[in-house]
Amino acid sequence: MMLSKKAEDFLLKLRIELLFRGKNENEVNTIEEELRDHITIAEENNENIDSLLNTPIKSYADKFSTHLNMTQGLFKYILYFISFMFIMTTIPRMLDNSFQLTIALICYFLFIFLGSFIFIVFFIKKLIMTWGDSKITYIISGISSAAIFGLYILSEYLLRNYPLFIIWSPSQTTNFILGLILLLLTMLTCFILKQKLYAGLILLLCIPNLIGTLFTGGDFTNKNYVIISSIILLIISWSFIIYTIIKYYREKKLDDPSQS
Amino acid sequence: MSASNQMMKGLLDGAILGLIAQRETYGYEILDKLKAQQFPEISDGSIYPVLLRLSKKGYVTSISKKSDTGGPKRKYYSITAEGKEELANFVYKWNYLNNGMNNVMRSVYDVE
Repeated sequence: MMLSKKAEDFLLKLRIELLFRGKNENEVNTIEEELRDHITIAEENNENIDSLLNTPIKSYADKFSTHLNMTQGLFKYILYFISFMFIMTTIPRMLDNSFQLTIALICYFLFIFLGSFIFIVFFIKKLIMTWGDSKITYIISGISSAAIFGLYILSEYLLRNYPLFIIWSPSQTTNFILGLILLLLTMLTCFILKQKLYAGLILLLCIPNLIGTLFTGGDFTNKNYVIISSIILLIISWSFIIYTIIKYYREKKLDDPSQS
Repeated sequence: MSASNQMMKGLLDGAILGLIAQRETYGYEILDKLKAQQFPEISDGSIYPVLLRLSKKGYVTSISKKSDTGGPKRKYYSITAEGKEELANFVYKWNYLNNGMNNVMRSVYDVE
């Protein structure tokens, strides 16, 4: 049974507030499920539960917070995340021979890539806490994500034209071999850590460059290299978009029994 | 937190433990019974942090069961041996306090 929008918003905000405090996801799920059950019965009985739904989220979360366990290995996950982000910025560059260790690249990684990701996570949390699961949340999230994507493109341009100071400039062969070794090591680590999704993700990011290299014999100045890698990238992006849309409609159909 | 709020918090813990001791029950039913018994200052949502606290202290255990009506899973609570011991302590202290308070208040009413 679907709850009222106000109730769904309340549960979503409480969940996000507790997860942002680093609380164990399973315990947060249990609380949400219990409150969902309570609200479901109350709404079925047409009871007024405004006293619950109007409770300030932060003060209600405080009441649970002290009794909930923290996510185990939170700092380990943060370290994995930073490492993965670093790998994502490095390996594809090595495979297309554009990798140079420069001051600009370090600044890009720290302030633009990592910084923008952390900013967007907190910004989206703020949006959800203010407007809940609404159209305006999606619109602002979309616009800010597009703005950040634009910032990446601008940074990429600045990075290539203004390296500030070159610390290390490896040769084409070193770049490619090092990139390939790092890619295999990363995928192996992901498999060991049982994170097959991330292994697939990093492979997908590198496949356009790998296939481009395979067809042009490693000549990165060849026009065909850009065309081939761009086509592969487009195929992957569109496959992902189509898969997401199909999945969304399938789930929507499953959630709404009246449509079946 | 004021003294009266602290007192209410302690009483709510004992009242909920007492209700769970009677039979296996769930959040909404507990609140319904508290309201029916005119337990003061009780509102939707106020019992769940208490249930979590009792659970963490090991006074109650819980099990999630599928709902017959197709709704979300329902969490049923039952009292543990430690919970029974805590409830016995609570009842003893409550009677002791209640008796003392009644005596004091009776003399206050006499003055009025």
